[in-house]
Amino acid sequence: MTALLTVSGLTVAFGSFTALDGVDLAVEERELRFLIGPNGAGKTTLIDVVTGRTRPTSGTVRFAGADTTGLAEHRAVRAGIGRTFQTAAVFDALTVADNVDLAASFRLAPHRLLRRRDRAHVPEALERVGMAGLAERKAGGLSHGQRQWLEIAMLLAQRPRLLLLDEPVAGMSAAERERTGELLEEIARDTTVLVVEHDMEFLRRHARTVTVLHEGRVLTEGTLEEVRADERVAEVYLGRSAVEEGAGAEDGPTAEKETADA
Amino acid sequence: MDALLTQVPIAAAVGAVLLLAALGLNFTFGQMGVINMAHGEFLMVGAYTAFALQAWAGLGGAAVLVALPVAFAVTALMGLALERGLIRHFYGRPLDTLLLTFGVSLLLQQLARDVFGAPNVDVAAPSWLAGGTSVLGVWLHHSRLFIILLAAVAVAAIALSIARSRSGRYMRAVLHDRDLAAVSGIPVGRVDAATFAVGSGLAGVAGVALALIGPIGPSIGSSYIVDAFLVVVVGGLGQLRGAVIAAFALGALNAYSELWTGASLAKVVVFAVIIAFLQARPQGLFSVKTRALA
Amino acid sequence: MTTANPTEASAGPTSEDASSGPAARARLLPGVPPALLIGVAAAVVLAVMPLLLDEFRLGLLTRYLCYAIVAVGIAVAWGRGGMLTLGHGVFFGLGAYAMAAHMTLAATPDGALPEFMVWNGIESLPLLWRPFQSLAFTLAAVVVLPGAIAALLGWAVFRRRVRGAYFAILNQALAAAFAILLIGQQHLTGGSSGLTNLPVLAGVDLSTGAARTGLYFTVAGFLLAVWAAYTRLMDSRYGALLVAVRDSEERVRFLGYDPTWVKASAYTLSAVAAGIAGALFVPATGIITPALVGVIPSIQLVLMAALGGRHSLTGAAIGAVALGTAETAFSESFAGGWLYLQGALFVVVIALAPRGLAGFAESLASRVSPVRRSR
Repeated sequence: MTALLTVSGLTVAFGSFTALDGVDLAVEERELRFLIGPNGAGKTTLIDVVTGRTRPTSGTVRFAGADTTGLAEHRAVRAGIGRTFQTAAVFDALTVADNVDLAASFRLAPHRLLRRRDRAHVPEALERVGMAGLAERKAGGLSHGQRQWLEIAMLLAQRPRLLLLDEPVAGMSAAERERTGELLEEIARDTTVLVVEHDMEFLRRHARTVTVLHEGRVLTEGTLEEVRADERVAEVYLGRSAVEEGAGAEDGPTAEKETADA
Repeated sequence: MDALLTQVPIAAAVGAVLLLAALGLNFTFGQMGVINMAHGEFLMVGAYTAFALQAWAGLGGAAVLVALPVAFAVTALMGLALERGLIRHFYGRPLDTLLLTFGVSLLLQQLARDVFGAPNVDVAAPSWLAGGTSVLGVWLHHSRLFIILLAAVAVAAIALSIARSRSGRYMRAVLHDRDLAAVSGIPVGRVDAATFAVGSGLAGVAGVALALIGPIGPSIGSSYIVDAFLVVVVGGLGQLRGAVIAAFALGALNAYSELWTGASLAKVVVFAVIIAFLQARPQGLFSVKTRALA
Repeated sequence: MTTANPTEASAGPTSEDASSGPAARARLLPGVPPALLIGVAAAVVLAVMPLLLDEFRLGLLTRYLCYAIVAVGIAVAWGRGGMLTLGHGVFFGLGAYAMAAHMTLAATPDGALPEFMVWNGIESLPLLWRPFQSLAFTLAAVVVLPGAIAALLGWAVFRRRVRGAYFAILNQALAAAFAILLIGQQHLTGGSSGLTNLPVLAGVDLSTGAARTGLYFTVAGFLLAVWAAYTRLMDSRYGALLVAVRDSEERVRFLGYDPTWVKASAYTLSAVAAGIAGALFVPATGIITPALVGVIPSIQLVLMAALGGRHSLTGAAIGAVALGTAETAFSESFAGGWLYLQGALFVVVIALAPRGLAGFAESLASRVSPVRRSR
């Protein structure tokens, strides 16, 4: 069986800076894959390329059997690729229900967008993230955790085949992380998920397979145990790279991790 | 062929005026993200400074030379007051700043009408700028040469100070990454104020140049401001070389479309060309390459 | 900066609960949509005005209502869509000049040429003018000309993600070019004195009192129709999508929508409203000149929407009438003063009351019924 997402020889250069340098990656259908690496490793850039936000300098992206390299963002979404951002991007001026409704309606023909909003499908998506009671609230008034969940609810409403989550628990409280973890497991039952995350505790609890990126290359790939046993991984996190920017992902129950990896 | 050739100094002079007007915008719009619609009125103030020195202070032909530093100082102070008093409260809201400063521009225009009268006035060029020279059969007005020279000096001075001086380094740092500059101990607020003052002062200098090539009226600024903004749009954010190329390109485009289509169609042609250009380079000729932009 | 930051807060402070519209307003009658209440109230007020105002004042109100139609369109493009349109005078002018061309020809005896053309040494009717002999063509042109130009321009710039201040400046450049073109093409447009002497439309003599009142009701009817249609549209998914695009174009892309057509269509709708308003303005005032459609009038149209509340279609319309009334009142007493006041108004409204009159009304309403708001 061929993988759902196949990235081959992906290189992205911003001027003289090479963010990705010949990355190969394959994610199988129904897989829950974690993508880790120190800051500047190219994690977000990789997501950006897969979702059409950044055009690769060279290399290809194949999704569900089709070449999706350089596809415009909205076309990538239509192909079935959904993503979240490091800071939850919800529409503050709209209600929670409208946010979900917009997310769910992207396949509608233009004339149906002109209709008054009908929100039959909204409660279900909000139910899954435990926000059913907040439907008529303005998204601008939500807490940080609620915003992240709303974003996930919006993605669920879109029914993507591949979900890319960029640091879903960054800045969350312990209880919020717990809830997000449950949500992640539930989503992963019927959706392929690729998660960028620094939080080691979160990683340990939920990761099945892990890919480690370092300086734009795949350093290693395998089960969590295999990756943890790899000396090179410890080195890039604790060794010289730690100097660049406090290597937050050191082993242990360290939690909070802020990044400037945008 | 003759017509093409005689149009060259005209195109160059139009480009030089646009460049002088756009240099200040290049700072304030390109670097600070502030659209100062009152910039055109700073041009107007510069032009009236030359007029006041000549007609009221009785400086005669020397007024133009004296006006250069005086206009710079006057408009720089006005810019400083505008930035400190109003604009700095609206950073991050570029469109609101645009409308605010448009209000200021209306106020300044009306003030000029009340002080100097609504009819146009003239500034007499000094005798050494009155004539011209013929080069290869092309007539070069001395006043046009003077403006081109003025633009060249202004560009050189800016390029030098950005590259060499400490405040120039600060400005580049703020342009590149405002937040990083702030946490690095650069007084971003003071850099902004100084940038705005210098940008406004340059408008004053440009205004003196305008006084040399035609009559001055209260709305003289608004007739140049749109083109000057287009120079920044085409040139790219905060890019000096972009502004230089764009100013002369637009100057030439204006001058030659006027030659071929007449003045009234020329602006439409220029507009269409700019839209077409933006299809190829929506960020302008040069843009600061960062990951955020990619 | 503007192009670099996808979540640019171009609409400023209105981004917070700006789309709320009806929801934030107090409900006077449960079960009746607030928009319907507003519409009925506005219709009643507009209907009694001819009884309260003399012919001169009614004529002025007709003129303000034309601007109110433009302001409703600007609220859609700018308030809801975040597109600051500094060039709506162009679309207003296209509608106005189309109508004025038709009315000029209607007032010209068969076989003769409009007077200004004779003065310009024109010997036969220019090709550009010929189709405007037909009223049907003219009415179509009033909608299609502004709509097509806005659609084309919008598509071209939004496709390349040119937005924010850049878009505003391009609009202004368009307005400047348009005014210069009108002045320069004297043989086609009447130059800076524009097109005047337009006494007849569709065979009706517009100078009679009955015709003036009829015109007033026509304009008021169009205002209500445009307001109702656009309000209804803003209440649809499309309206929510437009607000979403305003607040984060980037995020909308990742929801699977192409912001290009969302923005271009809103911009086009906004331009069409302006075109209709321009076409109504000409019979209502009997004149159109470049000075009514250039850079300054364009930005005055924006001030109307700002004063009334850019996020509110109702507010924008009221703002247009309020600004027009203020201008007339001040210009009558001391002319120069108005320009100072207008400049000051820009500064005060944008700086201190970015939500305009509608913002005041909404905060009043929320104080009256706090329960509704905290729902």
